[in-house]
Amino acid sequence: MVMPRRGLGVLLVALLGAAACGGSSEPAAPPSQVEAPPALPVELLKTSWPVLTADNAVREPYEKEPGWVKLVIKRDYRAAVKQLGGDGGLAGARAHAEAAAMYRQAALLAANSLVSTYADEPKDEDPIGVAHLLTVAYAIRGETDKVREQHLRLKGVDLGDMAAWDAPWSAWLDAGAAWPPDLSALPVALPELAPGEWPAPPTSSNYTLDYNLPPSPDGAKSHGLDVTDPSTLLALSFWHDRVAHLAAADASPVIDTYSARYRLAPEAPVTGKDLPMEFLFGSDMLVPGDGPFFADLFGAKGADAVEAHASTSIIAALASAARVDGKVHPEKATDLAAALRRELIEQQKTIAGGSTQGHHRIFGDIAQVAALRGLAFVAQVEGNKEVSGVLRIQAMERSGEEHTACPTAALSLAAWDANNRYHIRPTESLHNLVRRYPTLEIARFSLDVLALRISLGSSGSIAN
Amino acid sequence: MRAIHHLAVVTGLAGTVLLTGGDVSYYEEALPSTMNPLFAQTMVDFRTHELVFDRLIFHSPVTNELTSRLVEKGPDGKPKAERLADPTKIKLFLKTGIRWHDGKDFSGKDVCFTVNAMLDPKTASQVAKDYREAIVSCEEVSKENAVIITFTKPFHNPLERLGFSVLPSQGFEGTTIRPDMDFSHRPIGTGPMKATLGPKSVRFTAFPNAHQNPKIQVMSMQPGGDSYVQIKTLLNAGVSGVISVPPPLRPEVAASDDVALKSYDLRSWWFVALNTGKGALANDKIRQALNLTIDRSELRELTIGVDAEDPNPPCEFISGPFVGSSPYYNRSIKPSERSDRAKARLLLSEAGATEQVGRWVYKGAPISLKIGMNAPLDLEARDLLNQVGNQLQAGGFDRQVYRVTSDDWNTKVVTGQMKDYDMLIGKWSFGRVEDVSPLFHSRGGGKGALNIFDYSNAEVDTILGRFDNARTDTEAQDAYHDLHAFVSKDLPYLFLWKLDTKSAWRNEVRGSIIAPYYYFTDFEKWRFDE
Repeated sequence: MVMPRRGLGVLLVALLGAAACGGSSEPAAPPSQVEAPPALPVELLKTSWPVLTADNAVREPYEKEPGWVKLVIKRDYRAAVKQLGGDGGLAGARAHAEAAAMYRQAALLAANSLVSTYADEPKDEDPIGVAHLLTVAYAIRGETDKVREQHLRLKGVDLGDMAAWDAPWSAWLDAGAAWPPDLSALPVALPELAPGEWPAPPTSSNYTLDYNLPPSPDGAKSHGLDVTDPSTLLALSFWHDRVAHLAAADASPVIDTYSARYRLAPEAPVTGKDLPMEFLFGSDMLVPGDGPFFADLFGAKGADAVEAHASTSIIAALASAARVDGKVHPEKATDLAAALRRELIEQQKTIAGGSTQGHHRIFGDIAQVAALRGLAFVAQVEGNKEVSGVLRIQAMERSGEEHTACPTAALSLAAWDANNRYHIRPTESLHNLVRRYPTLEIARFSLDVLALRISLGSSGSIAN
Repeated sequence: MRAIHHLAVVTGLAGTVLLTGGDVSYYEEALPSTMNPLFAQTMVDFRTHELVFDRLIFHSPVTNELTSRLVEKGPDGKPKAERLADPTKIKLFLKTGIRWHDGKDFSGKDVCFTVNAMLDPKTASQVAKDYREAIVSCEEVSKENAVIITFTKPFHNPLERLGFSVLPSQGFEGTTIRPDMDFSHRPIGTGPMKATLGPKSVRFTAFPNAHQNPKIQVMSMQPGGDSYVQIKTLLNAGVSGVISVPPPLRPEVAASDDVALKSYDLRSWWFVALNTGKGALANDKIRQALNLTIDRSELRELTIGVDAEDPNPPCEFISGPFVGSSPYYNRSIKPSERSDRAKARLLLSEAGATEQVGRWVYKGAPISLKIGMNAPLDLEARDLLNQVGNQLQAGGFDRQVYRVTSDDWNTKVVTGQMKDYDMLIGKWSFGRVEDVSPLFHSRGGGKGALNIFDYSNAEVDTILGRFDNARTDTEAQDAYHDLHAFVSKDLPYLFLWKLDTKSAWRNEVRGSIIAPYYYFTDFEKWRFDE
């Protein structure tokens, strides 16, 4: 394991602090209360990162690196990227991979919002320029036919300031629309690829589109639509993804495996690789085999990946155990995730000499939420939208603490909501995320237009 | 104080609906003000009615799909609705076999009765107002067990306009419905639970029906009282759920393995309404001085608590009548977080007030403020009323503080009949729609129905008119941004903060998905495992 050598016991301090808040140690429970339900893959759990890092010697290298604290305990990817710096090795690669996934989901949130607004509920007065926004949105969603259909609408239209934003997409379509598009010609200045950098392009509106309206009776022209183009979010995800591969060097293939859950539809399927500890610690991936499981779940195998990986992936094993009539059952999934947390806390406690430490609970919390998120993905691939939604919401409800508040998962839920034309939860979620990641303000434009259209197209009440 | 809390928990003073056997019980903020959904005013009303009535069309709390329990499912799984040649008309095919809680059959007659009741100009219902603007008529097609609803114009998705609770035609003598009718106390619905109102609680019993079969047989609700006691009672399994857990108590709930915190999507913001037509508060400089005398940071710290590390802070200051995440919120207007007594003093002097022995005197008399607060708010922000009073007193204003009962708030404050007060502390909650016109438009002609102190300003009315007549989404957004900017200066309200709501339910209650705004929409899936 290659670990950067900086910082002194910061993680330990954070964990001890958390322990103090969480009520320090607890007496050992009687054995009868700690038996794991038979459905849990108890032996596999012994190889999970929460159990392995219960050994102080294994955890020590992480405790010494402040960047890990930002990454795992604070879920602050920007701070982690900067802290780990240019020589962050695999840890730095992980931080950039997390950032890439976050921007992927932000781009998807914008794309789903735009489709839910301008394609699902078009209005006569919508500017013709929204065809460009829909071009980008459908591209992000991998709906190539619709990309071309929308882009054709722009033929012969004076694009004005939007032309510079449309040019890379136009060129991409002309070249056959093979993913990924080259967005380097966008009027956004991103730095050279370099680990430790965090690009922060402007978030203000990029151009204004005129509504398709005659002047009002008093001759006044309607205020146009001030657009913040979502292409920037995609460009940021590409940038961080490339830097992650650069930083990972020989271990580059694990980047795609790690990101498989949050890759966009047009991206090529991933050949899964077992994940090293740097891509497990503090993550939703509990064992090395969880990475290849997700790669196959979102690849050719689809839902069949569950049984294929049940012996090597904790999430696959839980999915298999949670199935009723071949599909994940929400209550079984919930119970298994809760049991997983309890069992992991017990196994950590045993290794630590019989007392529960604060970080045992933190790691248990992370694992429980990881299981709920993972099983939500399985339900989604199984085609069970309702169950996927129930589990996503449950994961969100258990993500109130910093260590479980993964911004990528929050944006993924927001994107899912936007696709369902639901705006209240995602607007609140994005509003909170913008405090930490100001660049995500770029996604606010797309979500706001959806929120406006829904709000103005519904009936509702005020209450006290 | 803590000793009293513990005593209350030990002796069961927390409430009279403590759990027995398989019963489910929960603490609410207050009792419902009515059981007639046409006159719902409080969030307690909307939540309670969701158990007793079926809305014609509603959104799935998980997938947000438009769905219905009263309308048949079409082949696509959506409510069976047929657009007619006239684009303003839609035909809905209703389910058969559904019974009202009094045993009578539900039919299209009831749907059309409800529409006609809402359209009846003598039915003084704020809830009906939106539907009046969208719906023209309803016609029963009894042969097909269907109804044809005609809208004021072709809507892209007309089902979005049909979210009203359906009332039984047999429950009323005519379509003019008043809030004081017997029905408001003895409701008849088709919802999963039949309700019986007591003086201190509401008891719900399951009503199996052709269209739904609730799994919880008996449930009771009562106002919760002290929040600390509520949570202790919950943790000790004395009650199954608490609708609103104040932020300071959330960590304790989150740490429990037996109870789960639940998110409740509700856009709520808190305010202090100022009586712009009375005494010193008619002067805008004095209102601005009050705005600078209030120290919101201190208020929040003293009444709600702050966790600087919280990635999703429950309480966020606002500078206008929208939550910060709303597209209508004007982010160029920054909220005043700290007091600025020097600036306040300057404004008061400019207004003609003089400081005499630490008290502000205006037009020959000390400025004396009668301040009220909607009493249940104390559960979420403990002692807010006194803290506001203390800050104003420290700023040189005389003050008297009063708790306003829920009844008085619902019947007098929001109807503009409490104008003897100078300041009233309350909150408003919104769902999908954020129409603030009823709060700020001059009263009259059906407008300004929730204008607490009859605030009236021609510029505000013009801006609200711009919102109503907006030709584009951007124009509507611009209008509300302008409204935000204007009222943040004119100050009919001192805007405090948005405060999110979280519930807590014991793990024995399974399947408890909380619907945005209406809460119990998916109650049929709730279950109690002993």
